Amino acid sequence: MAGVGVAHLRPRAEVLLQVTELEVDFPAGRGQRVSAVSGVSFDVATGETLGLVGESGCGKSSTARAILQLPRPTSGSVAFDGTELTALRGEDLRRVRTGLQMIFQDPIASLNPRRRVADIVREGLDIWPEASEQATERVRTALADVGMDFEEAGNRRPHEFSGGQCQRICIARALALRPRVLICDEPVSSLDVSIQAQILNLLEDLKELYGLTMLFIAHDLAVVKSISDRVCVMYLGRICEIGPTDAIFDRPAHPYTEALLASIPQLDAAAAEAGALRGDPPSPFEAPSGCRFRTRCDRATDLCAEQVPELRPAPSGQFVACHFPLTGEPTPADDPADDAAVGHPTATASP
Amino acid sequence: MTPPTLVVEDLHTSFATDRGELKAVDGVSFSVRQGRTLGVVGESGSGKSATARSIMNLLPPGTSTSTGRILLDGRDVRDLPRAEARHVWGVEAAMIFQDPMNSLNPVMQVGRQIGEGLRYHRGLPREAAMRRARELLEQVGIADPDRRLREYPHQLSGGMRQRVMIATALACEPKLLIADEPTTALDVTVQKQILDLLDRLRLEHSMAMILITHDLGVVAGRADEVAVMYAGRIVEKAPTLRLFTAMRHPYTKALFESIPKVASPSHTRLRVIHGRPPDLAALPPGCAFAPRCRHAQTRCLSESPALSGAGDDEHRFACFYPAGTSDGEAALAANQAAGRTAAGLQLTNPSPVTSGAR
Ligand SMILES: Nc1ncnc2c1ncn2[C@@H]1O[C@H](COP(=O)(O)OP(=O)(O)OP(=O)(O)O)[C@@H](O)[C@H]1O
Ligand SMILES: Nc1ncnc2c1ncn2[C@@H]1O[C@H](COP(=O)(O)OP(=O)(O)OP(=O)(O)O)[C@@H](O)[C@H]1O
Ligand code: SF4
Ligand SMILES: [Mg+2]
Ligand SMILES: [Mg+2]
Repeated sequence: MAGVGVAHLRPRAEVLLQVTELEVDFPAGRGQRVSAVSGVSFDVATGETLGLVGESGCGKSSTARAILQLPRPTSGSVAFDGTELTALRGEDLRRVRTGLQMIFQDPIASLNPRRRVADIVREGLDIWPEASEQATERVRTALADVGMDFEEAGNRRPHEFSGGQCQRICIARALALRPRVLICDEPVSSLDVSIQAQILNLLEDLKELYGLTMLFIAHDLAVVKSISDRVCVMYLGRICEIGPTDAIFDRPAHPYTEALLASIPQLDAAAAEAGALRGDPPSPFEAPSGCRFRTRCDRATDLCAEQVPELRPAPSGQFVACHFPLTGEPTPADDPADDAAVGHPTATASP
Repeated sequence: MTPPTLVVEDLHTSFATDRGELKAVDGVSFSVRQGRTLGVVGESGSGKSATARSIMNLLPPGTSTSTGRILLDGRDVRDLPRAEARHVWGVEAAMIFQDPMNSLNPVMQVGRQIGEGLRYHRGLPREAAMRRARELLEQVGIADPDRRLREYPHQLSGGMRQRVMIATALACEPKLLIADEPTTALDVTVQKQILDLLDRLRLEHSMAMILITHDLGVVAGRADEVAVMYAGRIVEKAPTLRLFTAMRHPYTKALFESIPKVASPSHTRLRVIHGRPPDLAALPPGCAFAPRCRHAQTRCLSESPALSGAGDDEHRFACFYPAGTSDGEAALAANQAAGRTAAGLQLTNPSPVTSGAR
């Protein structure tokens, strides 16, 4: 299957994590396969936070898990600090993977309810004998770094803690292994806003303290903007655009990003009446040909149905995969009178 | 002026739990007029759903107690004879929920489901109910309604299910529609579609609407009036624009400041509300927000502030030292000078990171 381009990648030596032409398919019964991730390439430099944003089912978690080889991607490459993870097996993979840790959306479900907090945080430190001073010190430090006290919390079990505190425990468990990359899959989505702010600030502090590189997944655009240096927008398994956070948010080049931004409820009580996106996302079993966004896009033409758009540089500094991006090139909809309400002939929703 | 469609007066709802009586709603009063939307915002556990369920008579019998008056078009629905009450809750008021899958019947076709209320409450024959169901599906923006009528809920996307739920709620043309987190489970682009739809239908049908959400952004553009709940009480209530231009309750203000904004530059430090909401089964005396409040003084620890407007009937707040008033700013300044509040909250905000790692 055609990829969507690698022109935006930086030299491998300059980045810590590089994902190239990632494909993830899942068997879906009756011989069918779902293409969850298709032709996805991106890189993250040391100390950088890349935000991965997109709607439910667009392949964010599948991408994250494929990086950790859980399960292995259908094809494509994942290079971590120069080591190709897809080529590693068994103990080698386990050892290298310690450098990449992940935290999840549902912190309570990711903690074993029967274990004590101190044991949970110690989980990955099995290279040291159970009671070693060094391991205990690591656990104590990790807990302190997430704002929890070893003496007070160490002997208690997860159910005694709130969702926000359980997320802190999950973060401590990841930090105890001194990872270089922290992958956060919707880490604040299940938390109340006041607790969400605590965790977001904490992650920013820990990034400094531990010199972390982060891949931060969320569907909340404001959250992603707040924490990311660069942002990657996905739709139905493919990248729409990727680049510096400010470029993406201030001058989106992909029609889908524009629609996403226009859908955010505005906090100033003067909601912009920008066009809502019509229709639902297509089923991943019947991903549209060409550009997968075309069935909901007001700019789509026959070209969009025929050719997968490749990622190309946009004027404001990001890379965009669109035949008619919002900046630069002339578009079929660039007559201002021809406003979004007027559909283009090929823009009808797929069955 | 016609009387409000819904008036709630001094609503108290509590649940019997193994830790004792839990006060989920603690003296809530408000009203909603025809064609208007009241937004109810608050964090998890603040009593939003318990308020809605109290109004809709959907509390678990046996383990819950609820007092206070609920007037729909001037009649106290809790005093009505059974048959009339059933009519009120089946026809005049309707509610939609966060997860439509839980409230739709998984083994009943969409069309029958929408028409059921019409057949039961309005006595419509099957054919007529189906015709009406088809119209309703069109109204809520479902393409190919003839096909969808015969489908089951699991065959629909999350957004479509919520549309079906809305169609079901609208079938009997209620005067009051309560939407409890109708878009929380949906993607942001679908959320916008559904909120736009609810707005349009509210106007077309002149319904009074209560829009419950934990997202201040959702009410900002949609509600005429906003009530902010904390620990079972309304702590601030005002016409939407006035609330957003002059937040008085320290909780409202802190909540607003803790939300990341798309308009702010990346890596903007968020203001944190330290601590957690109180245990509703063991509420401390005084203002329930006091332990987390930057304005708190000794008085806040013993006396509970009433929801009052200081001469302004429209904008009310329950606070002794409201933000943006001289008392409130003086209280904050005094606490900042002391480095702590009367409740012992440190105001210097030391970074939660306390020890070195490497
Ligand atoms: N183990 C699996 N087996 C089959 N299909 C799967 C599996 N995991 C994911 N999928 C499918 O792959 C697609 C991408 O899913 P994924 O969980 O990666 O999306 P996501 O962007 O993380 O969504 P969300 O925001 O809902 O978490 C979806 O269509 C999903 O149904
Ligand atoms: N049936 C019940 N039995 C016991 N306690 C209950 C019951 N229903 C709600 N509660 C409690 O009442 C309080 C208020 O709950 P409610 O569901 O109204 O909160 P909410 O504001 O709707 O929160 P959320 O945003 O999580 O939906 C909570 O402490 C909750 O645990
Ligand atoms: S214009 Fe074409 S390529 Fe660009 S988003 Fe729309 S459908 Fe896709
Ligand atoms: Mg996911
Ligand atoms: Mg609720």
